[in-house]
Amino acid sequence: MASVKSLEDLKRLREDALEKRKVKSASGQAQVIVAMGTCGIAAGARDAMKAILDTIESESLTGIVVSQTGCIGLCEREPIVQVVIGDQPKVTYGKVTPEVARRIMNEHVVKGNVVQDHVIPV
Amino acid sequence: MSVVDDGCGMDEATVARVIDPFFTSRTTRKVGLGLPFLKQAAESCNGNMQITSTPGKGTQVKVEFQYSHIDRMPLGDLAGTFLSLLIASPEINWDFNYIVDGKEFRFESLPVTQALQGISLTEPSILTYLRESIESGVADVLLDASPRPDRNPKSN
Repeated sequence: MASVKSLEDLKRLREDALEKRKVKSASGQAQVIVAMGTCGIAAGARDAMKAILDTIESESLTGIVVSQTGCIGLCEREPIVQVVIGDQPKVTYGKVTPEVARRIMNEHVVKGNVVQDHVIPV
Repeated sequence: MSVVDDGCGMDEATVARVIDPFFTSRTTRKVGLGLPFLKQAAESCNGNMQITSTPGKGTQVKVEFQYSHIDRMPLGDLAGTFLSLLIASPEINWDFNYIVDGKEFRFESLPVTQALQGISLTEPSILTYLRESIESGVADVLLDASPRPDRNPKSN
């Protein structure tokens, strides 16, 4: 792997992450799913994904898993992002611009308040 | 540009149909636009797309563009694309190869996921490590490359 960073650095980061996991309360892991089908990408899903990853980095948000899915059949509502926190029901958001993505991260994922004005009833 | 996998592959009949935008193996909708769009993008730039596939062994999609063609879309944020693919599908063993004028950047995800032993790629410090590794690798390849307007890893 051509990189300025080594796998030893990565192993050290892993140990740090494990320590943080120990002190983190058991509030339930958050999963953020970005619809990355062709329709989603054309509508700006990559920008939404980038905003989500940027927020995780800038706010040091731990315990969040980001994944992708394909087209879910709601192309006119793209970019679509879904959030699942612990055992709670999945919340589906539409028209997720980078700004909306940052709101979803800060208001829903961090504070638990659903961003109602972008929820798609499914 | 080529994308190669060792997945389930396709039979000849499926390969022939896969460039039809109204064909897909998915069940959530009836269109499959990715490959048809890629083929159209290449052909509109004097290029072409070739798919070779063997059931049970995998698929190779190879696409060529005339680099100087006015309609060729820019690569955009290549490092961001690699990072998004890696983060969103960590179960895949990614092997990114980016080659410009013979200089190569290679990033394999398997050593990373093995070193992490189950820790998520989206832990903030891990994410920063991955982003910086990929961004610096892509930028390093471009350092000695012939200057061309869209060879800026931060473009788009």
